[in-house]
Amino acid sequence: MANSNRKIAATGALYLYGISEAPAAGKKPAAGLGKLGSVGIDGVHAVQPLPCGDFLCWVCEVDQASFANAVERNMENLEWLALHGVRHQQVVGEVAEQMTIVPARFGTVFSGEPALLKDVQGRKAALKKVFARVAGGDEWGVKVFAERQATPISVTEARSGKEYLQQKAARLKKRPERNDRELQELAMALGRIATGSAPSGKVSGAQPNLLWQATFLVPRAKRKQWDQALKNFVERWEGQRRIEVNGPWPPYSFVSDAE
Amino acid sequence: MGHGLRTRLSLMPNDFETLETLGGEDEVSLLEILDHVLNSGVVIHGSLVISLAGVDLVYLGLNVVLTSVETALNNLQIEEKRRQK
Repeated sequence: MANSNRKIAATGALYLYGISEAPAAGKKPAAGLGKLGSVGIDGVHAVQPLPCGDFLCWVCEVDQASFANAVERNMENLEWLALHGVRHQQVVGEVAEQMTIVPARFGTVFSGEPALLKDVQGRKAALKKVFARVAGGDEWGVKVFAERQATPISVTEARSGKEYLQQKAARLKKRPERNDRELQELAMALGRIATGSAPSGKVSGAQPNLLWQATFLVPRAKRKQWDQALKNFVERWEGQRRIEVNGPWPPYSFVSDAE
Repeated sequence: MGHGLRTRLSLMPNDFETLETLGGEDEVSLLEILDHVLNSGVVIHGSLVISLAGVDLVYLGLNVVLTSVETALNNLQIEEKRRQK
């Protein structure tokens, strides 16, 4: 961070990526953070760690009019959401490589430094609990797909966009059984290793042939067991079901009680 | 494997023989990024679950914007490299 000592203008609105714990007194932050945040959430301002008592808030200055006031409206704009969601993840992910971070809700903007500091300090107890829970763990997404011959394309060609969508919807509805006993067994096997689980797929939930998906918080120390549990099901289901895994992620899905 | 190298893997039995742990092959997709980023808290707007003719519009929509976003990100990376020189 070229300008980590720069004082943030008190008037500037601040985008909050997440919160990590302040390094112990006299200890410098990890060296690898220098490259972090060359792209702020707005593509202009730099990312910086803002000390806040026991915590470090990862922030980026944003323009009040063009960014802060437009966030709510932009949340409904897919293109904006996609680009900024990726920028958010880039920074949270980089911090997570160095230290535990409690990600903020995507799109969190404070009117200025005093408001941010007051808010974070007011959540001190809740934040400490969340840090204790997520430290040393990574978030993983697991999806199970049915392996099937591609559904035959419907005989009639769609004559309109609406008809096309209706046909597509009909195909999606023909998805195979969900939530059967074998899927429950997988969920239980993974759940025994993970320290937490959460539903997922708000965005990708409509993928074809998706049978089941969930998000887990997995202690790094248990990675071997985690991989083995997945392997068992991959072998058992070969040719019938396909497992897709994505991760490691910062613990996005396991911090909402710090709000 | 660090957080900067997120992966999405379709697991095949061989993956576990060639890779010590779930190794990195496929880049994680935009859908997955948003699945996780937007899974935090309650920020999701009602508009995100709009559906038309029973189809999840967001899924279709994100496929459509995927290309433009990837282009935007590539440009960002090029800019970044230029700045580092």
